[in-house]
Amino acid sequence: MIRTIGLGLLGETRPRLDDVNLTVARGDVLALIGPSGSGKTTLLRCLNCLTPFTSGRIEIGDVAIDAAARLDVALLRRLRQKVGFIFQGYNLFPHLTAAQNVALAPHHVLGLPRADAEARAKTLLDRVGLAARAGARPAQLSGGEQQRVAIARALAMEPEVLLLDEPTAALDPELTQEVLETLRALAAGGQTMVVVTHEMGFARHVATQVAVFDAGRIVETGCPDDVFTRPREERTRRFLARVVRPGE
Amino acid sequence: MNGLLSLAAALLLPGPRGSPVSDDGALAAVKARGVLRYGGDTEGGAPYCLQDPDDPSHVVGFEVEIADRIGRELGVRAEFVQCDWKNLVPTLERGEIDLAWNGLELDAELARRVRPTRPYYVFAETIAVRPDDAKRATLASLDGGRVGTLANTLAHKVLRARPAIDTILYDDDVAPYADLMRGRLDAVVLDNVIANRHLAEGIRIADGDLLRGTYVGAVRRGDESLAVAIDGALEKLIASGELRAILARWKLDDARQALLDAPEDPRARGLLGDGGGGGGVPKLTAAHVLLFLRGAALTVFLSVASFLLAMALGVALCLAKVYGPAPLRFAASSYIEIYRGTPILLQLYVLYFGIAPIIQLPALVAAIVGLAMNYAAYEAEVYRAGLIAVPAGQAEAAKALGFTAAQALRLVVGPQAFRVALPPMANDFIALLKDTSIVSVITVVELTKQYSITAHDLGSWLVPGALCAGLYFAMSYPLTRLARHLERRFGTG
Repeated sequence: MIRTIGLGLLGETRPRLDDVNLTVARGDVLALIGPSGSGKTTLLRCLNCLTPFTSGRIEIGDVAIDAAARLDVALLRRLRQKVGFIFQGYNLFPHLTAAQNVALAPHHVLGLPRADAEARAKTLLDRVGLAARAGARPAQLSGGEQQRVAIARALAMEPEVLLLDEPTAALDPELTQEVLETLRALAAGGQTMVVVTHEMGFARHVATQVAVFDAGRIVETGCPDDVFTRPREERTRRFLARVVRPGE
Repeated sequence: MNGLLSLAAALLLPGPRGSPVSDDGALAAVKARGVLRYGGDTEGGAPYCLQDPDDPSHVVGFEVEIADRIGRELGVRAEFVQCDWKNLVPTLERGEIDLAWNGLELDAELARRVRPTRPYYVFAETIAVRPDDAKRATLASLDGGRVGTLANTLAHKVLRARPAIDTILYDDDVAPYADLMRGRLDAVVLDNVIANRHLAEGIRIADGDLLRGTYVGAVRRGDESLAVAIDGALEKLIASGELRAILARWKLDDARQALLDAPEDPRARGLLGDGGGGGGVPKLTAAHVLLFLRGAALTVFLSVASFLLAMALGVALCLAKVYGPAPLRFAASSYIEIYRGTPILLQLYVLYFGIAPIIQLPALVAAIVGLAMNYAAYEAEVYRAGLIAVPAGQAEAAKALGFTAAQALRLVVGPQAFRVALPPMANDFIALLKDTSIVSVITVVELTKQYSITAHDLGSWLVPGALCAGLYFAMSYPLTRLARHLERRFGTG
């Protein structure tokens, strides 16, 4: 489903990404964990070409993008139609209602008739539990509601994979739970996802695969049980010792 | 008998025409000061009064020479004071000068407002046409044609009395003759002094004077003693032939000047009383109000048309500057800097007169395009500020959803930028509404120009001024409210 081969991104002093090799199979949920500034978000943005990478290759489904090749706009749009992106700050369109936010891209990008796009928006808002708020503007919604609308907006494009950049980082614990519930349901439904997260509980219990980042490199990958209970690397142990609260 | 009557009248009535021995102190004040301050306008002032080409700090001209001679007769020094010609009489009334002395045409209106001096020049209103035009030689022959003149002159009044003539008003006397030769006008009606000045441009002056009149000085009513002294000095200069010698030096002497010797000759004095203004005091009438409303309607039309155009051009400039490739970016930035950095007056002159040899825009088109091109520069910056104000995450979210760059701009970033730009746009529109008054320099008579014409006609600035201001307010206040409403609605969005 997703494969990165020798992915690298040069930074000003040291590489922001360094030889990142990952494979995510269909239906997998990959959690990217690690200290701040370790390159998790950068990797996520590279996967969608929001940040261009300087070496290596990305394959998502049947779309492959090489750092060496000239960026092709049509190819880029095909890539982005396969990939949904959830921002930490939601980035909903403030001049549109929740339903319009969701229906905009299906209508204009996929070419769905307006009525069909609106029907799809209604279905998806219902799925994230926000059918009643369809007419509200982002400013009238809570942070958790906004993030759920953003998830519905990404799902409306029927992406093969969802990329989520710290989707709950801006939310208080209560709202965090409602968003995580939504993501859990998506995972249970077989949605392929890559999530950058500081929610260790989520990473441990929902993800099928965990990758630990440090200084632009993957320190360790494995299934959550292995990584959380039997970390192979010293760097992983130090990181987990600081972030994992008892009981998680 | 006659003299006895006027003496009796002078004794009984506190009128302006006092006795020759009137003791108003005006002459004494000038003599005590040792200076006679006379007002004229050196802008387009040849041959009346102009800056000496050899020494621009010094004024010369036939009026300057006559004034110097009058000063000598009065035993004082004549001192030139630069005034705006249109405001000579108000300047006199405010006491900044003792004598308005710059081609003032004697008519009933002037005689009512000031104490006119004895005439010092007999002029004639003439018709200037293109050399190949033999048809237009009388006022009636001008019907249906476009005829240029200066606002608030006798010629303007003569033309206005014939509604069949399409009268085009200019602010200076150079442009009408240029427009005549380019074919924008069919004729120019102005006095012979001005017309003679432009003979070199190839115009032909039709035979026969349309109307004759005289130039007089203007003294404040009540400064009778000064007026009498000036009249005496003029009489002496005329009798000695010195006045005509001065005129001859400036190539202004002609057979018409023989009338100066006979000030009581109706052809020389007061013959303009019926020239146009008619008798009696003109009042602000419903007809004036109607003219004002028409001016206001034109102001609204100009504002709306030029603002719509400015918005379209502004969007194009803004997009070129923000998203365009380097050459386009440079071109847009240059346009914006040039149009913001130069006066709109200059831009209008260039658009209407400057490029006329290449393309002749009708005045109204030039006005709309000129205002639009100027305001587009400001709008472009307002829209750019709007675009910058939209968080980068919006464009990113649009990109991530697969929108093309154009779709992202049209559907996501553009609408948000527009909301940010709305309040300053409303502000600009109000400013434009008032800036439209500037297009009178290219002969468009909008509200402010109408006000200026009417105020001169009536010799009253206050009531027409209040009416004009009221109309502007009636137009801009709803817009101010709208701007405030938009700000409340979108300002903090």
